Amino acid sequence: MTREKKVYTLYQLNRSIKNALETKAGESGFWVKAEIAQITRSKTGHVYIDFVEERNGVRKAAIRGTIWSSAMRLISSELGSDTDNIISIGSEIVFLCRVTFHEVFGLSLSISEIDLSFMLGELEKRKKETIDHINKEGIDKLNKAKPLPRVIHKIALIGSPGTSGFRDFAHHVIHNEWKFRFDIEVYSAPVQGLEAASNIIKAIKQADDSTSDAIVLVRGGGSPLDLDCFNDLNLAIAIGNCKTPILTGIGHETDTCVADIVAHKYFKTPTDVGDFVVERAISFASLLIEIATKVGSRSQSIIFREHSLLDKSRLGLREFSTNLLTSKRTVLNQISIDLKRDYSRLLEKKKEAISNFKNTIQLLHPQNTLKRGYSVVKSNGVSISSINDLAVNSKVDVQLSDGQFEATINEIKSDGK
Amino acid sequence: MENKPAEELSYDEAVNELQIILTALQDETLSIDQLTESIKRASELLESCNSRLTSTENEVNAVIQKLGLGD
Repeated sequence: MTREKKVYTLYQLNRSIKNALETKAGESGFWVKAEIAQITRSKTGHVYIDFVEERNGVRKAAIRGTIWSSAMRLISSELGSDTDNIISIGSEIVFLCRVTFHEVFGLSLSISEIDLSFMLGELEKRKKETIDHINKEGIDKLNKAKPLPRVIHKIALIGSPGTSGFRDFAHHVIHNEWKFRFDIEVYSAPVQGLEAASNIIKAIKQADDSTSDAIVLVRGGGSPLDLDCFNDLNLAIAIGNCKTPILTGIGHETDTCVADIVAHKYFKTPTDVGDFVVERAISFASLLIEIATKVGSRSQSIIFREHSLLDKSRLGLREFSTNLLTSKRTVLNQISIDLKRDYSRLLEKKKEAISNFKNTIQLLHPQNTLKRGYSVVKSNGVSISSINDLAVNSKVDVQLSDGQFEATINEIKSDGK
Repeated sequence: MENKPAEELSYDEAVNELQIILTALQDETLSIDQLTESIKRASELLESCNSRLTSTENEVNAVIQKLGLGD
């Protein structure tokens, strides 16, 4: 005999599952840690989440969860701007939930609260791991080794135009009171959200090719979750590999992020980066002014020295040229005097010689001999100096000093014979 | 001694030549015929040196005045 089978309707079954579950679990909630695998949002504001737990790539558990729009409003008001960062695919969250069973939709977790402190703890842990890795690899020293020019004139600005941090920096640098003009090239990148890190990395690579003096990475204040993209390891590596020195101004007075640690220099706010850039230009300008002043005073002293040298030279010129002319004049005058004297003397001597000569000649003249009593005997106009040239009774002419006479020879005697 | 016109000699060359003439006079090695020649030459040299010295003096004085160094 066949017994009548007890057959339940599906609804009855699900009802009894629901009753059993809700009796067991009751209304009490419990805290669960799970990773978000998928998110769907309804038009009415409910959020449906697929939770998973994986270990070494193997899925160990999975369940659906729901945040009803009423709960979502409470959660949003508590998490504020971090809501989307927290409720995002891949993030692991700790949440308060009840296990519910719906006759149509089946098993699911109804979520009423999300633990922010757990999220932040996770972030801190990950950040610490990243910093350890960076220190170990020496990535934090790479960009610091890139020389920062004395004047940061060409600036590659990475940030999100329109955000306050971006405006603060740009305004500070452009409207500096010294009226220095900087050449700012903007590389736009979102500075929060899931894609922020990869977009910033892309912008850094582009900016690095622009031969700028420095890359400035800015973002205004935000919650630790907002700023978490600046703790990304790949971003840190990109900064380390960048040839251009990078200056960061991220957040307000909160603690530093990983990007700050690997940057060439970091500042607490975008405004502080702006101040640094302007002050660097000011100190260079002051240096130039100082040099110019030194050059000026040094030139003046050189000119003064040369002037006095020149004055001395001019005085010397007058003195020496006058002295030289005077001595030349003296020499010439002396020569002139010597010449006159020596000519006269020489002429006198020549005259004297002539006159002596004349006396001698006069002394030898025959007239003078005749005056002393001698006479000249001539026969037929020829002077006779021997008796052999004479004959008795011949006539001769006898010349005396003041005239002559004719004589006849009576007798010829030979001397001593 | 080849006789360049006095104007073609430098001042120092002219004075040197005058000294040589003086030495010759003092040594009494000059003949009477050379004497006339040499005195003409000496006066020519003296004249040239004198005029050059005077014009140099004038120029130097003008420059000194221009430099504001005059007394």
